[in-house]
Amino acid sequence: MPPESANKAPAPRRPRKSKPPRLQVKHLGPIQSADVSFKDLTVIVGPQATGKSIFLQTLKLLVDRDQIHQTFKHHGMVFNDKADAFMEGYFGRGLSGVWGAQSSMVWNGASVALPDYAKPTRSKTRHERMFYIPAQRVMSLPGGVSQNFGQFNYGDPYTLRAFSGAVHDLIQNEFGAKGELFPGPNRLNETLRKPIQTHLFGGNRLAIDAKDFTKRVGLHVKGQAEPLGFLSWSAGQREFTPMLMGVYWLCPTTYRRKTGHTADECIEWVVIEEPEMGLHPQGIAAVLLLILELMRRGYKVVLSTHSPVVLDMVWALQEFKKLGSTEASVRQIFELAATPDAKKIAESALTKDYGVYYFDRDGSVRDISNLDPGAIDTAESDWGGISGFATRTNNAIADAVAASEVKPQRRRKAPSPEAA
Amino acid sequence: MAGTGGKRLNKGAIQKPSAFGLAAHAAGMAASPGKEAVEGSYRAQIVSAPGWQFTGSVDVDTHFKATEAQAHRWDYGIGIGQANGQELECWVEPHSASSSRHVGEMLAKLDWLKRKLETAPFKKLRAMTYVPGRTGHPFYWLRTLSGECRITAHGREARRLAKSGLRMPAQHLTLP
Repeated sequence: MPPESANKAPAPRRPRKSKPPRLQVKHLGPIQSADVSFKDLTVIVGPQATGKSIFLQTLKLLVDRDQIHQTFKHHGMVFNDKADAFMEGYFGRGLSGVWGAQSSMVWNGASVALPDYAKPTRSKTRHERMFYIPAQRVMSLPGGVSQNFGQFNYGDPYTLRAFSGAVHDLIQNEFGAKGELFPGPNRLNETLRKPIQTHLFGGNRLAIDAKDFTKRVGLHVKGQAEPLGFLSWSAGQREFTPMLMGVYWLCPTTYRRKTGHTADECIEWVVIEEPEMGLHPQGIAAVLLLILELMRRGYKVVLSTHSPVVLDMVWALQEFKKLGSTEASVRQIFELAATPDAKKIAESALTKDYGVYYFDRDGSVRDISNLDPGAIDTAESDWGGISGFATRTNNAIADAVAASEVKPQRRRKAPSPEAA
Repeated sequence: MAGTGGKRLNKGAIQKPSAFGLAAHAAGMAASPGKEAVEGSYRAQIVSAPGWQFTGSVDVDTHFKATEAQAHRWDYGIGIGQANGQELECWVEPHSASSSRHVGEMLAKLDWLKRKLETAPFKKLRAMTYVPGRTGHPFYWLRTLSGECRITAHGREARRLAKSGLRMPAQHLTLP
């Protein structure tokens, strides 16, 4: 039986009423103009190469500047105030040009320049405030073996290196001794654990295999003596496992992950790029439940996505709020029984604010938070292009059905001479 | 020329009745000029495409209210034509889209209308509805402005609509 403190969901703190953080940028990489106010959950959508990742990595740099510099320094990387070198080291090779002569940026009302962030401030505060789960997360576990920050190269994105380092610490230290990763470690209550067990691991067990003097993550299938090798897992399982490690890291038994000396020095923000990667919609729903739990714990969450399932949830939660619906409606979309933990998550979701931004191919960024399926602006009604194909499909089918109902005119046959 | 959708001209001459007006008359309905049969609050939501003009309209719902009180009656038929004389029929139903349950109501109305179009009095209207290679779609769900739209494009209800030959609800229509 798990210890009570581990299974009991901690009570949320009273939400702070303050202006939402706001980031305005002009001419940053492919982004011509963006003005984003971050809500409890902010979702960004848009086609490939429209600057979503650059925008989110910039946000991380603005929030965690000093901690980022400290991490680089800790691993022997010093940029000597060379902005280009830092930008390549932080954003990734070839990306030092994201900030140009025309670029400008306003963060919470103050004008800032990205090259200034190539060096730390004199502040003594060094705790991390944003946890970033990058799109390339599968690279944090090559062959099922975790990688620390230093095992990557200069020019590999900082967000991948830092995330990988956190997963490495968790696997090698925190869970290394226990061996069991899922469903065992009591980080998640039954409400959160069951959908993952059902839809992502199909009843199999995730554990650390310490054979050959290497701690390796293995998937133990019932009836098989040896765990499945990492490359034999499904693509969705490979994508999900590092994210699960990230969620474990964020969900200690205390309220929020402390990263400094005091209770207030903790992670405040969580960024997850494309949480749906490789997953069936039922698996995505299981991940969304984890995201609602992170929000319940008081984390401000930012997602990028290409999935209609993610936007379905955001749309439904906003509509429930407008309609004065109860937590039962939230549980209905996740097919959750009325357990105390499920009710807490559902109730919390109805108290949160949601925002959705569309990064358009033309470089503009538009607020489509209402997600009104009947909006005249197709950017909003098609949910930033995510529903565009479905809309065109429906309309094409409707047109084809109408066309098929056109009966050809019957020609009257001329009477044959015999009949006459 | 009340009842066939024709217009009285300034000099007292009577414009030739539209094909729509004649077809509506054959179905036993009195056509109103332009889109006048459509309730005032919805008219602004319906406009004609460039090069097209409204040739008349009928309030189908009111016409059949007494005889088919319990039926899911369709609301309006609108004629639309071009200078070359081609006339088409567009069927418009202003209806709430505030929940997916309205999809069932709309499909029941569409079914009622299609059954009407199979009857002899509606033969001419049918011929103007189902025109091979016609411009635009014949059936439209006009979303009422008072409520939200809660029917999403990738939901099962949207696919039910499509399969029945009805497009997604729209806030504004440009006909045909």
